[in-house]
Amino acid sequence: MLRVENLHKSFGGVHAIEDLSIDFAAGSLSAVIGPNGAGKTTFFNLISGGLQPDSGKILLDGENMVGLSRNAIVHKGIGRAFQVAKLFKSLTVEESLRAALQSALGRAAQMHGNFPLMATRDRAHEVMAQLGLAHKADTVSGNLSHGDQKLLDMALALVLRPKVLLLDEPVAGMGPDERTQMMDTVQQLWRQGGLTIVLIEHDMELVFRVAQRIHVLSYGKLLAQGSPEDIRHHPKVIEAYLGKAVEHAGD
Amino acid sequence: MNPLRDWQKDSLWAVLALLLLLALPLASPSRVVIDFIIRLCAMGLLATSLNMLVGYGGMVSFGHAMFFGSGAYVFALMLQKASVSVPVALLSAVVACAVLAAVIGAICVRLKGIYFSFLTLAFQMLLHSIIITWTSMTGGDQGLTGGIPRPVFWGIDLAQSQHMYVFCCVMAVGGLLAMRLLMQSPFGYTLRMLRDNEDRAAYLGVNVWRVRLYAFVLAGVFAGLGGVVMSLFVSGAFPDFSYWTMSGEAVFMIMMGGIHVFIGPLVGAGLLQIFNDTVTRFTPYHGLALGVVILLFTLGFQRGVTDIFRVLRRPSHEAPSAKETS
Repeated sequence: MLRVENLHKSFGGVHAIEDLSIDFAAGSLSAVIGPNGAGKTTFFNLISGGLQPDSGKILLDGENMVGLSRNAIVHKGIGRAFQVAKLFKSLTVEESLRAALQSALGRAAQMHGNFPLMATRDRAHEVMAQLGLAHKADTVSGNLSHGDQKLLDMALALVLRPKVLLLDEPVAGMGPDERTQMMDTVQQLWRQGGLTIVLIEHDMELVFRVAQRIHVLSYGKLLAQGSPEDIRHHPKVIEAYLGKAVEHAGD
Repeated sequence: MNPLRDWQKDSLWAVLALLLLLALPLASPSRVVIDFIIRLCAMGLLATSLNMLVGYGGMVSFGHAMFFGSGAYVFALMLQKASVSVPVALLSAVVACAVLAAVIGAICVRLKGIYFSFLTLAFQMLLHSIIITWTSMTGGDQGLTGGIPRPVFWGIDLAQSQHMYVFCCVMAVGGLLAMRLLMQSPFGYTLRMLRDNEDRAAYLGVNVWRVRLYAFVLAGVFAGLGGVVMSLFVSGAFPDFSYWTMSGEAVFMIMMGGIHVFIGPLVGAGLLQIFNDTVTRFTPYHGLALGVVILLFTLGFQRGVTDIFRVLRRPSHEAPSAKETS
């Protein structure tokens, strides 16, 4: 499904991503973890076209995404949510989703007819129901709570029916209950099938609970990868990131 | 949410406004009122078209009057030097503004914020310099004087003041309705997406450059229409039409009227005109008085006078919705 090969990105003399190769299987739920500055968000920026790699390949179903613009990559099937929700603050929840959908339909520049297009209604309502935003349909995005803003950010990516959904710290800034709720939502989405989810997260408890496979980055390099159990007991990961506490918690 | 109903509603408002404008000379045949309305038609088109960029697209252009001036010059030159009919001159002005806006926009819309603003200003000053120095064609700093011929077309004689009044009103109302429908279309909402979060729009598959360029070209065309009206009113064209002060006035109009309501810039154009006409009668320190008024508006009505309707409907700590700001 999504495969990166020998990816490299540096900023000046700093190697943010160094010779990174990872394979995300179709329909998997994977996590990318690592200490601050490990290159996780840079990795997402490279995949989603926010940055261009210095070398290497990003293959989606065998097609190389390198060199494509952000908007072209979205149309290929890679959707993304952000650590700090990026919303359209003057649009309501429903308007935001329907505006996003009209772009997916190739009608972002359509100058006749009124917004919103009828063709966007069903999908927008479906995603709002899926993520529990239906009762906030008419709320202006800028007035949503932090948790709902994160949900809407995810809904914006999801509404375009991506093949791969990149979630950058989906529970950042949330309280304990909201975190669990959000992760349950992510898991539910994944269980419905057809979606490959890759998430970056610092909450190890949640990561170990939901991820099928974990990839650990450190200083832009792949330190380890494997199942949650493998990672929990991996000596290098414990030393570089997790510490003894997580290993014992797992035991 | 019903598309037909929204479209009909806007059109109905436009027809009502036009009927009211056409009935106005019957109620008050004063030349002052008629002249005021014609100037308002021109400046309203300029300010509203600028607000398509500023209020809806988040692109603060400091050089928008270059299209107002271009429309006026092309229209006047086509009638004066090429002796074409009025519809052909009008079409030429529109096409010229569209082409000019496409070329300048293709460069400017790649930039954001203050860089975009100053590049548009630079292009405006370049165009103004061309108008000033190309004396044989434009009349230089004296402007295109000598009057413009107004051959009769389709039974319309623009030499007659009533015909011209009707023509200008139809152009302005038609232009404003077209802009309104554009801003309520899917394109208008894509433009709002770019204003709110350009980055996010790109990550949702929007071709940011293309949408911004379309908006820039459309705004240029409608500003050009405003220039055509002004050219008819003054029977010529002058370099001041494309000078930075004209762009500045359009920005003041938007500030006074409000960027968040569609008719805000038109209201601002009316207020500024009334203010200009009144103050110049009482004091030679017109600029000083204008400065004070702008300061008061900036401090008192940060979103323009028309924003009062929004504030009455919603507590000020809550963000305005796109519906309220349309």
